[in-house]
Amino acid sequence: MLMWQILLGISATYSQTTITGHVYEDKEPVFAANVFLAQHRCVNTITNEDGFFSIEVTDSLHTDTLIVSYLGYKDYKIPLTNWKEPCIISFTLSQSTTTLSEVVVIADPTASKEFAASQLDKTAIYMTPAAGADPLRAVALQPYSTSTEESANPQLRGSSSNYSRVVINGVPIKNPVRNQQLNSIGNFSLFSADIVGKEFVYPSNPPLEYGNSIGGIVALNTTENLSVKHETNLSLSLANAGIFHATQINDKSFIQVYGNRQMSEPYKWLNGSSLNYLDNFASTDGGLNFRTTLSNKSYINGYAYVVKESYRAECGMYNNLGMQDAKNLRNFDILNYRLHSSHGVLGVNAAWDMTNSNYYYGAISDTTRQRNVFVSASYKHYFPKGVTISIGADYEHNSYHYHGAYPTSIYEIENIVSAHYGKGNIDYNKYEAYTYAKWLIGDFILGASVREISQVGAKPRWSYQANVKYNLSRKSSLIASCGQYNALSLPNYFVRQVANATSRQMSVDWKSNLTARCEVSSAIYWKKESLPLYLLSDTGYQGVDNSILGIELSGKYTWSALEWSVSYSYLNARMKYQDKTFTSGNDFKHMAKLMMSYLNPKILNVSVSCLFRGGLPYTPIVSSNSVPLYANLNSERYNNYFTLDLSINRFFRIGKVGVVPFVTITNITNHANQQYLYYSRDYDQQFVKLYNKRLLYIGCSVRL
Amino acid sequence: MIKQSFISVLFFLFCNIVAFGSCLQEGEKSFQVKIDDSLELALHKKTVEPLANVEQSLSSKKGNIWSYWQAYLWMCKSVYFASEQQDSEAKENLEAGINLLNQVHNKTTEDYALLGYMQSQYIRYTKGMESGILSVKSKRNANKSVKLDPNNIRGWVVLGIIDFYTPKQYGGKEKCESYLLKAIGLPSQNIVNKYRPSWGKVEAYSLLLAYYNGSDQKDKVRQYYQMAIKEIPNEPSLKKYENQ
Repeated sequence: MLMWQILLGISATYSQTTITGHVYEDKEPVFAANVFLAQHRCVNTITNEDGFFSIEVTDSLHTDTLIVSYLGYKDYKIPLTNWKEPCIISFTLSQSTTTLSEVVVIADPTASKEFAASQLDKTAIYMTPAAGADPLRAVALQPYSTSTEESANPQLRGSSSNYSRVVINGVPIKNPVRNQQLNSIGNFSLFSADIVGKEFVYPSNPPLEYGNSIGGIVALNTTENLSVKHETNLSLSLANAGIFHATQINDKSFIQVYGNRQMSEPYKWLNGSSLNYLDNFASTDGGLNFRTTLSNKSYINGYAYVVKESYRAECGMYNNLGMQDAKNLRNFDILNYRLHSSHGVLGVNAAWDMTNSNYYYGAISDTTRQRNVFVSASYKHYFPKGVTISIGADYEHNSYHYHGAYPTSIYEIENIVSAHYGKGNIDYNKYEAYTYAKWLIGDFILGASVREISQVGAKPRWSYQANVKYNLSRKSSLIASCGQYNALSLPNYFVRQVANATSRQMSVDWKSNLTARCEVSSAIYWKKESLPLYLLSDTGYQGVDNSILGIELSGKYTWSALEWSVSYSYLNARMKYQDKTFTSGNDFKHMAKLMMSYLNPKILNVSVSCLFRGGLPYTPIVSSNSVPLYANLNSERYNNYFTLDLSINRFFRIGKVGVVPFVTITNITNHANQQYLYYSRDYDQQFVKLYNKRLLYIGCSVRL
Repeated sequence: MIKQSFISVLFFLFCNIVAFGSCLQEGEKSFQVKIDDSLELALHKKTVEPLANVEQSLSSKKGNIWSYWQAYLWMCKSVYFASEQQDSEAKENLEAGINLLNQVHNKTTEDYALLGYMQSQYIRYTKGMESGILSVKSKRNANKSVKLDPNNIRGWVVLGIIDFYTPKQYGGKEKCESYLLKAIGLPSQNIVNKYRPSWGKVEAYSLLLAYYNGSDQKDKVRQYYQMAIKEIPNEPSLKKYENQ
């Protein structure tokens, strides 16, 4: 097995960029590897005995491809992009005894990655034990995550998870978490970290290239190449048995396949008192990702996923405490095509997404069928003088059908007798088109974009944004962004229609690598959201305006095998409803995160994470007279939320097999974090449902 | 055949010392030049010390690339000892280089070319069937070199050398022209790298001119001489063809 790590540090000096890096073979530095530009071979260097190289590239050559060549291994090609941030790229070079055929690494065609708040790769996700090897849970540990649910669904800079968007290879995926039931439990995402190549997070002012999103975007790119020719991983834990296999079929193609079976019995047995509300959960899922290189300029990638899940647990809502029983069958398939030319990239995407779900709770007996077809095309062109322009268009067809029995009133969920039969169909088509331009001028990167959203029978709506990134020095940068964004809210049980949502946002992000070991960042942002919300009424949704002001401060320090990261967020969220201003439901005021990791594969990998946030507001019911009477909107608060989690794993080698047992303990201090209230039948008594108390989770993964 | 092989080795080593300039990175000496300069000095001063000093600097280095240069250095030492009529030491050094290259896992195109070349030189120290076996091995390794990288000049040069010095009755001198023509059409290095070998151009031209001269093809001698001096001006081994 050969794995190369090339650490690229990129610094900009006027019209030139110095690309520096290290080349490794396994963990050994590679000496005398050739590093040069494909179209301009006079621009070349070699690695020294530490595997280090430094090469000057003028900006006019940014459309060229960097080649790393070492005798005995396949050349590795990296198309130069307009990256201005340090990034880590891992390469795998497979030896060929017959020919040195080329494997081309083609970068994602997104033009706006410089404006991402953070970039994660598979290594970073796995090296964060608290993330549980979940690409979306890894986002929750970042400073810009304002998640107030114990869910993998991204909540970014104060926006609801209903409006954040997860995009895979340029295709938006709705409901990206498991058990996305009525109360969005969604502890884990649908995605395996093993297939993730890169992850970009845009917590505010997300690029309009990806689509309209008012709640930020998490963009996942599947892996571009395998680090080893064949890999098989088995995992077994209290709640999951899984297998992952990846294989390089030939020089041009690889495939990754995975499957999991989740069950609740052993997990419940070990954590009985903390999971006394849970009856059972089960799921079976499988995914397949393949990539084939058609030529040295083009490739096709396909990703298919299917999951069948069920969840049965006690749930309180209004004056009902009963068992909710949810079943879900989901399948999505994504196909991507990329074609590179010397000056541009063409991308075509197609996707299919279907969900069949059943939900039973009290008088609710709901069957919902959702179908989604998505097609998009985009082209990015690199002009001289550091100008990039991209254009694109997409079409989306959505179909939402439901039928079942529903309570007459939301306050009579338990009253099966008075339930009525209902059904409905929502079908809509959406067309969007965008254009994006970026200009590199010395230490500045300027970006601007416009996107139109059209629906038949509705007026077109326009979104626009502008970004400026300034490299203050080689180590620090400043990004200022603003824009107006439009989105469509998805139908749900309370709001069975598609409604418009808009947001105006401004943000300033600053990041600096103070030293090689210390990184600090800060941000200030403001959002004004106009959203359709179900709000204390039987008559449908109401429009509310949310105003969010937030400040983030974070720091990370690495010393040898130890890493500390700490972040603090202040959030002030106000809601305007019927000309009155109230506290918003997500106004937690203060949130602090602390994570300490000790990563030493020879001894132990330990991670401790701690999260504190202010309690969320809620609207109490003060009395009842057949219909509950509410106090002022969001006038009370739940208690402050606190959790302390511990993750431990250790790598063992038994012959050729790698074994990693792990232990995770969440909420070590058994803090009683209040999640929601429910009431007795006549609303006389109030009860509190807590988030999970202390949970112990153990398991083991085996690499064959 | 053996003497001619020895002379050709001596020639190409001398020639590389002079003709390496085009492969150097600006202001820096390549490792090959360092070894070739040491051989020139050793032959001039009639002491192995300059080569021994380079060998000393290699002793602490690990990795395939340094194994290559160690083997190359041993070949240069073999040339030195052969020039001093010390056949035993010459044979020992060739043998050490061949053994070292044989032990290299994941041999590269350069490793195979050098191994094939050193094996072809070692033939003069063998007899009978052993010579035949070694001849086959050297040719097989040279073929592996070009198969791994058809653009490696050194693989084609070694094939040309082997065929040139194989007697006609054993099937030699049939393909050397095409091998050497292929070689002179290739660059000394696909991409400049001071730690990578760059020999081959001089000996390709030298042998090709020798082949044409030996088969009395004067026109081709003149034609390829002109080409050679454009690529490698002031190359001493080519001077004798100046007035052809």
